[in-house]
Amino acid sequence: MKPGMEGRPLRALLVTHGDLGDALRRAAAKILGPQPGLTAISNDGLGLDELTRRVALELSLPGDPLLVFVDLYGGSCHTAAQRALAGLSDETRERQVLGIVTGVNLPMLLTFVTRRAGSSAAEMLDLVLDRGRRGIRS
Amino acid sequence: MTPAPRRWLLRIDDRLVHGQVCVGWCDALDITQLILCDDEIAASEFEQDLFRCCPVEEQDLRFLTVAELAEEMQSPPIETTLVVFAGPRPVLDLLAAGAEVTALTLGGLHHRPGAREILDYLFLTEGQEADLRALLGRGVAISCQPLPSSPRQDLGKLLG
Repeated sequence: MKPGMEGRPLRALLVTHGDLGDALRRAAAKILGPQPGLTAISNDGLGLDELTRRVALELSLPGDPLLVFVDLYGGSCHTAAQRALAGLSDETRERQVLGIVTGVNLPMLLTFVTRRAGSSAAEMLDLVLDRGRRGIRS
Repeated sequence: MTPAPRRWLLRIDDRLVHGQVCVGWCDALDITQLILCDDEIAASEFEQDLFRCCPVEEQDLRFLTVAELAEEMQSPPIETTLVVFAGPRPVLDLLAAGAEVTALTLGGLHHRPGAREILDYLFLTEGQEADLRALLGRGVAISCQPLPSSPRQDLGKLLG
């Protein structure tokens, strides 16, 4: 766990195209019951600057540490999340944000929700990446 | 089938290089080179790294200032090239720097405070509208089209 994150529950911020983030949040609630601490931001109707502003606002509000999920690597949601993260003070970034994960899917979000209590930041990043990939098969 | 001529395609999009551009436009028009023309981004390694994470990595992405692009546009591109700008002002600067611009596409200029709605993806501040009218006045054909599959609308008619 990063210093200052010990014992605090983790939150997720989903930054996506269209209604994907909100739909993932609702799908997770269908499977696991209502879940606090999951917030979705859509890029619908937003330019890069405004999207960055909204993500930065979520990241800077005082609260429990956040893991940022975005859908498309290199898309506007990813660019905005990276810009917002870079705009935080070092102290806020260390205290508030675990990192950014791209290619969000339901398996990784379910893993996040079920394992967020008691996982360190590094463990959580490894876990969601692993489960997200293992959910893709043929 | 003869290959399509290599062209400079100019586009304004306030999300700059993103999913719609990389996947939608590049696939549809067989674009193999992307240029992000923005003086600030051309001066920032951090910003360039952000845009290098393109969803489709087959295109060559470069970062040029307006002055550098004006120089390159003195001759036809080696590959069909899409140039993306954050707004109309750098396109005016490009004309002033001696480049020939005959056509321009508007993708998204999204809602911001003080901007007037023209289309659901096109909101113009007074300054942007004045810049676009100046471009129209210089004979640049400006059409609005977010995706290759969406209808193309003539900006001159929309502004009246």
